[in-house]
Amino acid sequence: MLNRSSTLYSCLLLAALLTLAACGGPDSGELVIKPVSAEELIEEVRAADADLVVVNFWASWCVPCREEFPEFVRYRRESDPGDIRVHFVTVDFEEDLPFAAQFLRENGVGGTTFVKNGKEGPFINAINPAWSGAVPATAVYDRDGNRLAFWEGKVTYDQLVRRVNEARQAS
Amino acid sequence: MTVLNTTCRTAAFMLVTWLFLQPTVAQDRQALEIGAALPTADRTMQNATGAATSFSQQKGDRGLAVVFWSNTCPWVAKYEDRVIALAREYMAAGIGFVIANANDPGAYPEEGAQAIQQHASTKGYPFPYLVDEGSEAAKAFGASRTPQVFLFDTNDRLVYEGTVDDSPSDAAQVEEEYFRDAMNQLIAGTAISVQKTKAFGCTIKFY
Repeated sequence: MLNRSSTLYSCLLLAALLTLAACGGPDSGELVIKPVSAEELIEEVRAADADLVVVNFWASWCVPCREEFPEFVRYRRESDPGDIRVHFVTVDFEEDLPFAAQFLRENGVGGTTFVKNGKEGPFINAINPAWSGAVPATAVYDRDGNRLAFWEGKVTYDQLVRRVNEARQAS
Repeated sequence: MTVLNTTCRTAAFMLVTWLFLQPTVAQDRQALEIGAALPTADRTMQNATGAATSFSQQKGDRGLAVVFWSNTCPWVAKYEDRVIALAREYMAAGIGFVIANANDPGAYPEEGAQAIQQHASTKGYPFPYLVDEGSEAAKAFGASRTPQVFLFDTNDRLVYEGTVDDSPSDAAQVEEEYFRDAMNQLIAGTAISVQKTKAFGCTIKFY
């Protein structure tokens, strides 16, 4: 009896946890790729209501972006959403958005992600005047939308954690 | 012996510190400064047609435009028709045009000589499409993107470096034609109003 109860309890607990993960995780909900200008993106950062917001700029055709992407997905899922949120912004051209959506789904990303809207130059310069426009690129913001860190190029999970922590300490 | 050990430990510590401080992300190469001389001018490179040529041999009476290129970069694809149209127009006005592929075909076979030949033929490029083996020209130019434009005057001095225009993704939205303006000013013999712009594009995959 005890064994059966324990098994039932374990199953219920597992089901509850899975349901919670599915319902409340950052990747829950239908995938939406929302067009944003640089200014709108900063509004989204402020609206995230998190201490730090990591924004990863990527493109479906960019090999290093595709290679590092799972690391950001892992970081997004493992982070406390009140502490750290991870947003994805694709810079794909309009005709490539179906590939971007397919890639996001393949990586289990759901909910709202973003796509650069408008001309590349003003967008890139508004995000960071020093940004060459190359992807992948990543920015770390505080809850008020102030940029704390920015880098171009691919990073590993450990490098990502370290850089976000450094950004936090420097703020 | 103790002094030697101490020196050795100090050197090792300094080496480790130096290695630790090295950036983990590749930094952009610094592009040539305005006024710099045309690098690798006489270096022989293979054209898509199989013939050998050099930047010097491709110079026009009014100057030379070198554009770093790729067969696969979406930004290049966006600019391809615009660059072909500019080349047709300005080659007729005396500016030599070449494009160069500096990507490592060992890592990216679709950027290799055979693919270059096929690409040039399919697209009907009006300019030589050069294989920049070892990325030697790109490194000498400080190029880091495709497409990235370098425009030289008749004295082989750099007068413009950067992007083609201000709207890579949509030709209909172009407001600033930096490359065209620079060529017009070069031909007119007037000062180049915008000498450097940010070259948006794919990173060159160096050898």
